[in-house]
Amino acid sequence: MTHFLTHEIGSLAKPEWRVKGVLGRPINNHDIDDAISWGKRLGIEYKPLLQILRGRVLSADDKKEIKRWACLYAVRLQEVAGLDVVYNGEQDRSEMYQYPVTLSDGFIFRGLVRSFDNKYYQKAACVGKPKLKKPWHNDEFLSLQKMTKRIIKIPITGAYTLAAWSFDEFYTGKSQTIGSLKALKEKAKARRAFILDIARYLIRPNIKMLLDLGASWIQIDEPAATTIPSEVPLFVESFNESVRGLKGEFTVHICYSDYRLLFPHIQKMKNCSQYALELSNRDSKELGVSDKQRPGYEILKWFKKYKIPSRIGLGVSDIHSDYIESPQLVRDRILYAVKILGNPALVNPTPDCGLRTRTWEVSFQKLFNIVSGARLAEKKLASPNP
Amino acid sequence: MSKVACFFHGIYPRSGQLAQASRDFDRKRLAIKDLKVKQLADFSALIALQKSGSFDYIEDGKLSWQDIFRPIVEATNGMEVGALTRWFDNNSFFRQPIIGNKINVDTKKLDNYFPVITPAKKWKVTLPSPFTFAKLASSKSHDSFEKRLGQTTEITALIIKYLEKRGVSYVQLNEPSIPYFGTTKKEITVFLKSLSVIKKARKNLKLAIHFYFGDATPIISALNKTDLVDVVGIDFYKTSLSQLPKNINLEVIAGIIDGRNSLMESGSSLKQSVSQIIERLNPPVLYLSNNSDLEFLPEPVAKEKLSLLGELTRSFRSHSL
Repeated sequence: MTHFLTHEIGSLAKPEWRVKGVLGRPINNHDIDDAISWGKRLGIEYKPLLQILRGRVLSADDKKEIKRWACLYAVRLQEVAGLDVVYNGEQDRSEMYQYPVTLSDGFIFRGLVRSFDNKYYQKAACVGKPKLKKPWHNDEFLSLQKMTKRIIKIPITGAYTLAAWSFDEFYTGKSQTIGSLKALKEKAKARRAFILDIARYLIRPNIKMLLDLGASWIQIDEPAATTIPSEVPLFVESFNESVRGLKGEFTVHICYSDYRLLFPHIQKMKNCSQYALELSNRDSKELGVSDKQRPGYEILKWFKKYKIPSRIGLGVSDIHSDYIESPQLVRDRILYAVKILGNPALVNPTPDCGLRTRTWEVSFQKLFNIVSGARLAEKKLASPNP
Repeated sequence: MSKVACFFHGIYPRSGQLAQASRDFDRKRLAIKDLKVKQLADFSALIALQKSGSFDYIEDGKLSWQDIFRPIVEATNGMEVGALTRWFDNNSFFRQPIIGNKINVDTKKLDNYFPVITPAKKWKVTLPSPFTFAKLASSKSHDSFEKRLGQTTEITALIIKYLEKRGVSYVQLNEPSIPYFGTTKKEITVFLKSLSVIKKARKNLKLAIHFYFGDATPIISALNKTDLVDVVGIDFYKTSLSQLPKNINLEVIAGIIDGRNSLMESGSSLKQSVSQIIERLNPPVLYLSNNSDLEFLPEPVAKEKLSLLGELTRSFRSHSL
């Protein structure tokens, strides 16, 4: 019988007690109650955590411990929801850009840049050859190993996205004149060198260290992969450079993008065993497995058409909405994917992206229903008239 | 010999304090009146920066605009704010305008979005070009692009009339779509038709259209044969000077300050580039400016770049007027 491997994508919201504890802000009774209530639900022996949270002054070690507890809670939440593959929900990281850049040489933060509305991010400029200051995720992996017996997947921000979200003050020559064809060509060359150096000197060494420690599954996060359509081949090249000669399971997560731009270029991706995609955000909420009922999953036909052999991390749950997809809706999204791809082994149900913008309650219900939907789909496929 | 002048255009980055205040306002930690105090502080600093650089025209920086369409959408009955959408190839997003069948701009709602700049003869405003507006918008009843363009042209014409009444001297329409996506002959025709409607809407204000995020060569060649606008703008980080027509009849905006990279331009390299631009295009007036909005940069970097722009222009003014 088919078993649909289920997993998350990366982040979970950080509990208030984790945020306040690490920042040294006062932790109130509501925060403590939250730690108790989730501790009970997830079967965690949480009393030592309460002792730390109730401490008047939190030491650096206490803060480290609080992060470790948050990781444990996140892992248990995923386990109780029934996921096959787990991660710590980024409880140990600040986020996916500033965190890795801070741990790398060759970058300087230049200041706040708006992403949209009143949302900003600290944008760095590359001012020298990128070099690792410190391993990004080794401690996180070692800690996770002690927390779970399930498969662990470690996400790492990809080279293309790090370059796309940074300024380049190093590779682009300062003296070049503008408005010439030569300058335009030189700029393109500089861009390629920048991206490939991040792959070579930041991403690859990190992945290698994780593999050496025993990690088996690395998810390379590339939300910016299609930002500049003409640079999709560069994204492909940077992925290949990041995993070149390494042995492990390498997957890529791309979201909120025009996936059509990936084709045919991703035919050249080597050793990419899964594309985890945000899809349910584009889909209808109707039940059914027809093209009309499943408009969000049309891109799967492109994967089939271009004979991409990799699995699909099938986004079946919208992370920007509190709407809880029913197990039946999840089932139908999975069955539609199987119908298009023609092989259940190519389908791994997931949320669209990290769940950090949802509450833990919503996240848990969404993950739980992803798993329930996967079981329903398995039953349906095993029935005499699937 | 070309006269050399300068200004900046488009959305200017908010300072760290204003960004924080905007976030605090979102989280209900700050009252609107306190947010406005911060906005005014940024506005005053930006005006002072332009005046100290002897900019020929002054813009407000659109410090309260959430994106280039939002105030217009919110002031237009029959238009709605839609999905978060990527702004071309940037890590920056806008809310897609959704256009209904009947639309009507309530210009009173725009007053706060166009703060008065004195003297009025220096007051300049950037608006989205109707073509880009229509290209990036959707319509409730799945109308054709041509119909949407007709609607956005109508809105833009009304806003230009409103701005001229308020005393604005110079309106620049920002048009990234044409150079970024390229266009068909049919699209060029409807684009020119749209500009002819806009031209009729203005009385005396100067009208510019600026092309960026791509090669402006084909469209500049087409516009150079018309008198639909007074000024055309070129992004010199995407356009090769040698491909442009020699001796442009129109005034020209030279996008020579990069709004998308924090790398500070070299003054001497820019000086050389400007000399080459003057030599080839020989326009009546050359406005030195930024290629794209500066909002893709942190505010301290944008500030430094505007200072450089002022200095550079001064060096040309001293011997080219």
